[in-house]
Amino acid sequence: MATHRLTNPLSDMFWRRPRVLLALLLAPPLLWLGVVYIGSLAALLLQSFFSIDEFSGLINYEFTLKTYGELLRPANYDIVLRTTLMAAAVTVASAVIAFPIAFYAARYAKGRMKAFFYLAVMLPLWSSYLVKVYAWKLILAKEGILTWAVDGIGASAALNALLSLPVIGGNSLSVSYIGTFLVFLYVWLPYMILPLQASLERVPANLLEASDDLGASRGQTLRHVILPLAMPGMIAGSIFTFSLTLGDYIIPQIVGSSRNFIGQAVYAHQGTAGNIPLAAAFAVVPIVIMGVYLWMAKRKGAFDAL
Amino acid sequence: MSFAVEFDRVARHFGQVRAVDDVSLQIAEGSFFAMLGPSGSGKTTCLRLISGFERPTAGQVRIFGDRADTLPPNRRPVNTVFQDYALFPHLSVRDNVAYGLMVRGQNKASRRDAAENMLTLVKLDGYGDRKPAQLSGGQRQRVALARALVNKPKVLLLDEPLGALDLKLREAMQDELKALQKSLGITFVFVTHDQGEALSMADTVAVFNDGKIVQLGTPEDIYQRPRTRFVADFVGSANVLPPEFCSSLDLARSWASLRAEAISLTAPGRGQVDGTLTGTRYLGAVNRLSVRVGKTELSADIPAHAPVPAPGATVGLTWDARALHRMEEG
Amino acid sequence: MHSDRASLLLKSAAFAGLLFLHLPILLIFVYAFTTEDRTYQWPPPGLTLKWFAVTWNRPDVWEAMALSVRVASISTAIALVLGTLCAAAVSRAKFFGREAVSLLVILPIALPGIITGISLRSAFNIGGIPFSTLTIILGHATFCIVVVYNNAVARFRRISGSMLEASSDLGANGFQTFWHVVLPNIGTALLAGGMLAFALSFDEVIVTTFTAGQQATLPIWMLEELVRPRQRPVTNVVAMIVVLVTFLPILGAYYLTRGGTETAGGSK
Repeated sequence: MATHRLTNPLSDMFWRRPRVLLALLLAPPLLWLGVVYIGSLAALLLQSFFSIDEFSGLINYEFTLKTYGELLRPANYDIVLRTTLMAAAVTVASAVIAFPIAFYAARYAKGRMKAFFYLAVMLPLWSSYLVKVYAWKLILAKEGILTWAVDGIGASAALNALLSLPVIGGNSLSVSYIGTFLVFLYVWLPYMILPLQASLERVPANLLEASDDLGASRGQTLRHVILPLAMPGMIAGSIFTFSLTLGDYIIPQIVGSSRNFIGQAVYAHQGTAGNIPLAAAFAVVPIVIMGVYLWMAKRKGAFDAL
Repeated sequence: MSFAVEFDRVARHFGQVRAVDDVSLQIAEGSFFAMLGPSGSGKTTCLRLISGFERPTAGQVRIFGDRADTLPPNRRPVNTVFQDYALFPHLSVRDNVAYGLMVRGQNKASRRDAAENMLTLVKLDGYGDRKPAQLSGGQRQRVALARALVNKPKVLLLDEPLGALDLKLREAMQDELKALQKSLGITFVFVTHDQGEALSMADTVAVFNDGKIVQLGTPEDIYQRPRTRFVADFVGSANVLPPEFCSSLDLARSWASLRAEAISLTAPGRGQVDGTLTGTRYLGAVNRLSVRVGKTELSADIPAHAPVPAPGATVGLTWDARALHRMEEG
Repeated sequence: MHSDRASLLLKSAAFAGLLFLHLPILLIFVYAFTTEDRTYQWPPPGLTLKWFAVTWNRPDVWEAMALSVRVASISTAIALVLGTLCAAAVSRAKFFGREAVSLLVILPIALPGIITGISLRSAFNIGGIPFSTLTIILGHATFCIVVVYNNAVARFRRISGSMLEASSDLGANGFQTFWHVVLPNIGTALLAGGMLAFALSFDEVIVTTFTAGQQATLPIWMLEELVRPRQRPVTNVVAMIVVLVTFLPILGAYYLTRGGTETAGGSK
């Protein structure tokens, strides 16, 4: 008989009481996330139900919905609306640009080409956010490469016409909504490509063949077979593009007009203005919007594609 | 006589499900023991109760007389060949085989020798440096076997050992396992849902259903003298005859089984019963005829070269009286 | 018959999309060499290497870099421990609240960074914790856990349960099984997760602006230059270096987890 000399009482105990091991594994991460993160979220939520005393500028620690009421003031309401519209525009545009990349990578790229596509999306995704924003500051500058290229092809008149449009135009691209939109689109695009590609990978090739076989044209196959099946991936991607745009405060600060987005309002109110309750109430807005969005997405089965 | 494995009123419940329900069982030392049953019958849970991956809800498990159900798997004198082999993908074949010796602190040279010897025993000498991924299914099975046997277990447990192999390989492995068990003299306990495998390899078979052992006996017992309708149905292709059928033959009223190959065809009125031929299935060596006798549908196997009457014809059926086996209901 | 080759339109749209993703980053590389130091003039009037030397001699850049490396290393170490423990628990057993645990891990990255940032800031305020390197690390580790967790969970799923049973069946106790079977099989996934966590922390700016006191990590340094450009040529060089520094862990993580399902972009 083999001698079992390397016995270990602790190991035996884990066999007898597997729940103890489970509890020991879970305790550190749950304590960390529960205390540091959930605790912080609760603190934030709590603050939004306080208000600021307009005369002294001090926080009045009494439960009130007054601060949420302030969100409905036209100036604040505009900020919410502007941010939501921008998030929607960025989401739609990134879905349009992402689709051909994702579809080509999922359906036609094989072997090395597939690895190339994967890395070609991963590298911009993971490269520095600030550097990407900085790159667009260079591109959109008046003396920068875009103006130069537009002049080069003799399209300055078209660019000027675009910039003279009301609301979205401006003195130059770098201080217009168009500029803000372009940077958002650029920075969040990879977050749309990856889930979209993941859901397209799961469309079996023989479904497309079946659609062909049944007499559908390429366009019909795209509309009736591929797009519906790619929908969960597209929704998953839109969760990223939408949420990230809602919460960003750096891009509109660097590139764009002087009008605020939610993130900037949060940053300004908690910082220089010192109105923490209003900042907290502003921060709750994206949480609520994303909550509704996630709830709708869950019903469409988008989470399987994440 | 000492028993290799003993179950004393063992139960294992998962919530409301009684996977193993009050089972008592003795496995004789040196036997080749099969646990046979459909999936969900409790046979695999029984095996896992021996290896220690499950703990009994009630009752005791003893291995060679020593109480085992309080010991974790690493302290039981048994080893397992897993259904999916469970080879360690990051280790070479040799290190896989030597794993059990390594964790017990045996020195490198001696465990290397032991592993090589064991690989020779399972006819895999020269494969020591490969990774499991570079082996075929049959070769992986042999590595799994060597990895378990190198620890000199008192009982070797095999979970559906041949399930993943193709037919030819399975038959060859059956013979090899049998020979190996004989030469090593170790008690083998294996789980299978394949009655052919159980009957051809084991010297004792336990048939499981609904968490209980419904029959325990030699392969011949199980096959020729099924105790219940379930066993008759599950093991092979016996006709299960209702009590009315026996009464109509002037026999005592009870359920009975009758193997299809025990029935032969004769002219109407010349056999024990007459019936109407309703269909024929060609099975290679035999034609399996379906014959309706009263309310009962009987299968009868006749040699493939014998003439087959036309469907709808009336035929006589005859059998040796000893082939009709009376059994309890249930 | 559906053609196995993409139409020209699809192909050009796909590659145009990739160009859109990469040209701006390539532009950074050109600007690092420009002789122009007051505007973002294109094309560059001339090329020079002198800004590399200037940047090399800038103590503030070095300090910011050192702080970023320190923060990223410690955050990654914490995230490695917590993320692995969590992944082990979730993939090992079915228990009540398992879904909630996965959600909890993902939440810090799923909610906009500004919410994580301001939440932590108000909590530190309430708790009277002074803003310091420690508070930066607390924030970073919180959102780095998910990256390690995602990588580890995917790999744990590939270790079949019977492999762990086989180890104990062969006589190994729980610690031996962890050392000889679990660790070798999840090692590369942890390394990849750690690299990605490092890259994530090294680059983070939004949460950091809320949790830092007077300390400047490299992204904070860059943000200040972006808002109020004072050192354009130095910023250009730093931007290029940051791109190169973050590419390495990404490529490393990719090669470590090839063939697996880890590193999917959703983890960022």
